[in-house]
Amino acid sequence: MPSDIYTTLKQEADAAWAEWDDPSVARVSVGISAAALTVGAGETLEAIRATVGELGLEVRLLEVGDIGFSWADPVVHIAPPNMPRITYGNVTANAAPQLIRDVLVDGNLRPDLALGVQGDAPIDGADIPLLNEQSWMRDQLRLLMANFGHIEPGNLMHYVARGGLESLDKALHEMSPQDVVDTVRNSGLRGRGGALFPAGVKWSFMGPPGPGDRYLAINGEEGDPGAFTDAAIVENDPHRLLEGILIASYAMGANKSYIHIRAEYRLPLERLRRALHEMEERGLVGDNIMGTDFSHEVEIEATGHAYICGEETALMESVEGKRGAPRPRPPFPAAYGIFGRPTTINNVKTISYVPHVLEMGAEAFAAIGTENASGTAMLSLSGHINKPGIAEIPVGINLAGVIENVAGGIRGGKQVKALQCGGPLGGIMPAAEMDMPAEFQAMTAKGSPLGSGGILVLDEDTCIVDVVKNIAEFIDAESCGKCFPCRKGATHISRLLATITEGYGQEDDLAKMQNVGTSMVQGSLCGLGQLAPGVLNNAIRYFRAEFEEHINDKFCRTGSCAALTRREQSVA
Amino acid sequence: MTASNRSNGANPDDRQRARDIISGYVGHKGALLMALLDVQYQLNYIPETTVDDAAEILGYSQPEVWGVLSFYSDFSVGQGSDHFIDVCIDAPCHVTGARSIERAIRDAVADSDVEVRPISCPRLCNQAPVVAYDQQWRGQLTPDTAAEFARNMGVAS
Repeated sequence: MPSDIYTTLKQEADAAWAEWDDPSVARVSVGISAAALTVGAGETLEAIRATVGELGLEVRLLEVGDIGFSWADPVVHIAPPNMPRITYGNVTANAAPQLIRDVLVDGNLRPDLALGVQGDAPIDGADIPLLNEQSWMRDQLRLLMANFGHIEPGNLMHYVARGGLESLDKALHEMSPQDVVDTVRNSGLRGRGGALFPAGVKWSFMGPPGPGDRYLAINGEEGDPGAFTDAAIVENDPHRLLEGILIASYAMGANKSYIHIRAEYRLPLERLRRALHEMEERGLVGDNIMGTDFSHEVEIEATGHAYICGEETALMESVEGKRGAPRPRPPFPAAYGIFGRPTTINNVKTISYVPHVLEMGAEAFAAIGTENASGTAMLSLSGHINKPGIAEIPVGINLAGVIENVAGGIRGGKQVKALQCGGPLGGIMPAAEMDMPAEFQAMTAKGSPLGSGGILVLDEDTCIVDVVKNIAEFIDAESCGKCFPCRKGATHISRLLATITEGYGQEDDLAKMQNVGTSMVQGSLCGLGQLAPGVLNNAIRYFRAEFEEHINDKFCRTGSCAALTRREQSVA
Repeated sequence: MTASNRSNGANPDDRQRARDIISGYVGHKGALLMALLDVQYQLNYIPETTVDDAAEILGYSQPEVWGVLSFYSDFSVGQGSDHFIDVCIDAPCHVTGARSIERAIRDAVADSDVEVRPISCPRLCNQAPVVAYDQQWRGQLTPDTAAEFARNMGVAS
């Protein structure tokens, strides 16, 4: 039974939603995100506002989040009166006025710009497919992204109208903290930061509550180039994260949480602050939440740009305002964390699943995905593909299919050469290995972990040595410097790769780099050094011939390495 | 931290503004990083005097302040150019042409006082390759559109 407080809130939210989504009026919403703004979504919104004013149309205009179709940005959704919502792509500020006129004045639904009709019912007589049946949407299952592109991010009423806070209400009024921990454990939810540790088990390390502060820290560092899903959740549905935080904190008896997110993410931060502020004002964050004994404070830690801060002990140092250098373990964070108090660190995605887990129940959540990893995987798709963007799939569907359908295949009709997955500390796999499940453990076994969900797709014209060199330079720049093998090793590998691409490679360079890599693995305190040689080792394993060509023949077959474009001797 | 190529003394107004910003964090647990970031994002640089000022106001040693400033790549200490074009050079932008984009931009702004900085990933990989003028990011660029963007900005500054 929903509590009275929740019921009242839900009624208010439903009224607010009905006010916006009134079927008798035309509704136009524009997807605004940091990514969409880079290709002119802000100008599109202004152009639409101006056009609606000039034509004197009765239109509800709303700024919504990013539906994930970055390849089609700016994206605009239009619902003519008493019709379903139609999603349009590539609506530039130049194209927008004509689109509005065509659709809302002349009744021409512009199938040329339409990506699809939302919902289950096609529009009679219009040659526009259903959005959910498009090749890039068919395989998706959107839990974390359920509200993306549908609500105004940071608007509590919109969130609640679409079912938000129901799980929090249930947890606080109908479940004991132990019930919540058990539900999450039984759901099989695993940490989505990359390590895949079972979330419920991690929470139980906190032990029974005692006097003094207990913290939950949210890891939104997501430093991997090619991974942008954490920021996307904060940017497009910040309340989902906040609801997850409250439920998890109730389960662990944490009285305060820190959300660690980079200060440079301005729009996500702005929306998160708005969301938090409104929840505080309504007593949903603070003392005696929803009329219960549970009290919780949330602090947003806008922090600096440093890759290492995604490592949990470095993150704690950063929250304390210091250099983000990792701490030795033990003591583990659950015993001695932020400011010396018991702390659990969870990734943004992991925590954002929690409201779903409670809503669906442990069994239903566990039924999605695979036995090893239940639920969905949120993917950041980038590189030489037709449809870069954000997607969410059930864990375990075919990886080659994901690249072909969800990512839209390779640009310019070329072939896939390799996938670089899991960021700089992940791995690289050749196209020949792609016919496998997109599943965390299975991909780790191939040496190319999915990690936090970043997939950088490389086409046939990409030089693997050049990509590995770029990644080695990144690791060299981001090693925090605390452990000698990592600090020196990263520099050494990066310099050797540079000499190879400049034509001064020597026969034993590959063995040398792998030796240095082994020292990094053995002699580093944290994951950065321990995982740093992964991409290199994998690249050598699958693309040895290409390395040898650079070293022995001083030749780069793709022409990427400018010094090595002429083959000086033939392959022996 | 980005090393500034035209370091000079802080102007007195900026010094006072930085002091005021930092003073707002007195008594806040773990304030040093947040205070310095606030100064960086409001002034677009860290005045050199801020090292002493932050140490004094928040009760840290100067090496501790330098330690934080040199660790996070957000900070640029000492006033550099007034205007920056940032070019992301990490893997997703790298493979989609960041190198030729950086070259095109450097050519386009060679005669202006705009400073071009290769920087680490701002997490806009879905619009790669990306560049920014004073933190305003543009995506899906080619060398030609990037050069045009840079020329327009260079003229505007």
